[in-house]
This record gives sequence, structure tokens and C-alpha cells, in this order.
Amino acid sequence: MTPKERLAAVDEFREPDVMPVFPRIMAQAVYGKGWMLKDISTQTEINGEKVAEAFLESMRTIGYDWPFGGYMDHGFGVPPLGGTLKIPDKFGISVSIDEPVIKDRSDWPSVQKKLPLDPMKDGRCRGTLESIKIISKDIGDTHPLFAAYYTGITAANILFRKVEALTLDASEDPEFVDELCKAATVWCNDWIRAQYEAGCNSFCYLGDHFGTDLISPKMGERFILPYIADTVAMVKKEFGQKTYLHIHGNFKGPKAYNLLERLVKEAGVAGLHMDEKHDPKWIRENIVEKWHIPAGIIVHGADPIVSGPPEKIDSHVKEAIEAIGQPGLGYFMAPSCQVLPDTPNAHFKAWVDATHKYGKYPLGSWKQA
Amino acid sequence: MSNEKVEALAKAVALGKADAQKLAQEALSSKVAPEEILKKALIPAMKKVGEGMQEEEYAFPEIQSAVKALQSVLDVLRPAFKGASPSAAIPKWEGSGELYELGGHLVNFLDKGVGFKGYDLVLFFDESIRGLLEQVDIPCHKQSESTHK
Repeated sequence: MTPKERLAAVDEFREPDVMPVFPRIMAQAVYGKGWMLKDISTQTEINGEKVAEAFLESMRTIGYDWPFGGYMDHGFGVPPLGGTLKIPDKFGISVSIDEPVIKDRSDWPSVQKKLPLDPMKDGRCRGTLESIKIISKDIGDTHPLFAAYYTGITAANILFRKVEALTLDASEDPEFVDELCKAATVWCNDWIRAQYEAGCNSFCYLGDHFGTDLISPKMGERFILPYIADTVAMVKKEFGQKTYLHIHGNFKGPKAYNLLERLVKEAGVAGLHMDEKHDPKWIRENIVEKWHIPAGIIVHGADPIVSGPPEKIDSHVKEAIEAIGQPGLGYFMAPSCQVLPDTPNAHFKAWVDATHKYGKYPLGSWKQA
Repeated sequence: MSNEKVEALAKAVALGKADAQKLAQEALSSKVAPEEILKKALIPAMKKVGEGMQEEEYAFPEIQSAVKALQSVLDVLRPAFKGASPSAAIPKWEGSGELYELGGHLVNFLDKGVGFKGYDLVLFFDESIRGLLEQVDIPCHKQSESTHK
């Protein structure tokens, strides 16, 4: 099977040859190449050729089933709106916001005048689109190439407002947050459109780092749910693609679980990648078997992959895959956000190799090999 | 009458209302003792916040608002507690940014209001946090490096 066929099998609850592995996103491929983020990004530019080189090399040396089209971080759109970025000298997770676009709520009217924002007017977006074009041409139609970004309150946080200010806004002035979420989601949708036009050929992968880590399920219904629904509908209508969601937070409580269910059944999320608070058994019982949608599993805790050694990673992957039982359809292996990007390539490779070994279908057949 | 004022204040703090400070001033003017405000309004309010979290109704925004209201009340109570120094037995988690400040407010409140000591607070450092410290250079100190244990 090609990686694209493998992902399609997972999505359609057919047997793939092996369980596919979702790559560690953000800076990992850059660090894996021996570069720092300042080597590929400035305040106003991203070097698309270098990023493509890093991501293709990461996919091939580590053995991921697909690459990301580019280095996706939290800085897109920010400099054209007047914010500044913090580009870490050491091994930060990603570029982050130094000076936010909106420092005070009274800044909003002047920012609104600069909207809607055209991705092509941001040199960092143009560099990333260049990377997507190079990677798309290189991999052809054998590998899936996801479009990716954030929507709703997470996009509002990234584009406009620091997290501590935005969460206080959510409590004190929720109508203001509604406006930020709407404007940020318009930007998100335009940025995703540009990625598809540059060559993305597969699902859309949305991230939400607020989830229930930062806001209550009730606020999630207001600041997350409608915006994810909006982007899911746009991606389906304009590009005929499904949307998978990576969301942070503990969704085991009844109200949080209800929000998750609404994200699937009302917003139309077609696949889930939960965080490390949900072990493979919980994923199986509460997502895959209950709603019949595909989901990512992660090895429990970040420590085995961060610290190694490869033998320990191997046993943790084996345990995670055994926890989903048989026939084990509808699963992909996914990274935890706690796995730091500067983790050695050898550890990621051990994780991928172990997944392809113990995730050979029919599950359990590795024992006869 | 004073019970009503204390209850209204507790509710205002738990809900993060902007009028919490005004209610505290009114309570003090009505001769409600600062200790009574602390024990019958502020501590129950924070307990309510904790229950809100357990019931999935409260998360970071609601906690921020409640702590902001709490802080505004502590500002008017501070003269009454002048001279009472924070416990030396509380380990301090040092850092910058509003998240750290929020944590600092909560620790100071627990210290002053409930009488928590260092042995009530346990900080865990697992492998991933060690990795974070090494790789990201987060400005914080391990408990073992703190001057207070």
C-alpha cells in the first residue's frame, strides 16, 4: 500500500497493511536537520526551500507515512497586522508571539481596518506555500499532504491576543471574543484555501490548544464548536475533503465528552487526535467504537519517546497497540504534544518502526513473523 | 445584615464580579471583622471555584475573574493584616507572566487565608518537565533548588 492508500484504509475502517504514523509537527523536522528556527524563519520570511528539504528528509529518514507541507507555527498573519514574533534561539516548540496584535481591547477597531488579511501579503505564508509546492511535487500522489491550521478561539489567540488576556476577555467581555473568533476563522479559512491551492491533496488537520485545558465545555460550545463547524463545512464544500481535529484537554467528564460528541456529530469532525490524557483503551471505547470515526493513539506519556532508549519505546508502542485489541480498525499512531521537538531522530524512528512492526495487520500477526 | 453582606461578597468573588471590592468596603464599614470576611466570604468563594472546576463549569477564564475579584478584596483587607508576613515554609515557583502571577496570588491566599504550609504543597517533576527545562529554558526553578522547602 502507498501511504495515501494506508490512510484511506484507516479512514474507511478497512485493514491497512500497517498502522500509519502521523509526524511530529512544528519544529521537529527543522531541529532534526540540525537547524534552529532562526535558520528558516525571520519576522517576515520563511525559507520554503529549506523547510521542504527538512520535512522531506524527516519523512524519509524517520519513516513517517506522510510529511507536513510546511513548518506550521503561531506566527502566520501576525507581522502584517503589527505584532512581532519571538524566534527562539534554543529548542522552542515553535515561533511564538512577542508583541501581540491586540494589547488592549481598544486596539480592536484599528486592527479591524486591516482585515480581511490576504495570506499572500505575509512573506512567511508565501514561504510556506512554496514549501508545500516543492513537497507536493516531490511526493506526487503516493502520500497524503494535509492542509493545517487553527480556528475559533485558538486562532484568535494566535492571531490577535495573548492567552491570559483572551481568557479574561472570555469571562468579562465574551461578545468581544466572539468578534475575534469570527475574524480569526475567516483568516484561518483563507489560509487553508491557499494551502490546498498550493498542492495539499488530503484531509484538513485542525488544531485546538484551548479545548478543555483552558476553557470550560460551555465556553467551548461558544468559542470552539461553531468555528470548527464553519471550517469543516468550507473544506468539504470547496475541496471535497474531510477534517480531522487535534484537541487538547481532558474530555472524560460528562460535559466535556458532550462537547466532543457535538464536534463530531454536529460540526462534522471526521477523525480525532486527542492528547496524552486519553489512553488507547479510552480512545477505543469512547471514540472509535462509539462514534465509528478514526482516531489517533499515542504511547502513554511523553517520557519514553523523549528519553528513550529505543528498546523502551518499542515496548511502549507494543503495549499501546495491544490495548486497542482486534480487529483494531480505524487507528493511526500519533505524537503527543509533550514530545519535545528536539527529541533525537533515533527516538522518533524507533517509535515509527515499532508502530509498523506491531501495527502490521491483521493486528497480532507480527507474532508469527 | 452582616451575614447577607458576607454572603453577597462570597458570591461576587466566586463569580468574579467587578463590585466585589465595593461589597468588601461596605462590609468593613458595617463593622464586619476582616477575619470574618476572609473566613466566611473569601475561603468559601474559593471553595466554590474549586467545585465549579470539578463540575466542569469553571476553567481558566472563570478562575482568572474570581482571582481578580479576590485580589481586589485582599487589597482593602491588607491594612488589617499589616505585619503578618507570608509563611517561609511555602516553596515559591518563580517565573514571569500573568500565569505565574495568578499562581502567586493563589499561593499567597492559601498561605494567609488557610494557613497552608510547605508540606501541604507537593510539586512533581517528571521526565518531560526536566526535558522542558533543558530544551526550552523556561524561567523556573526546581523545588529542590528553592530556598524554601
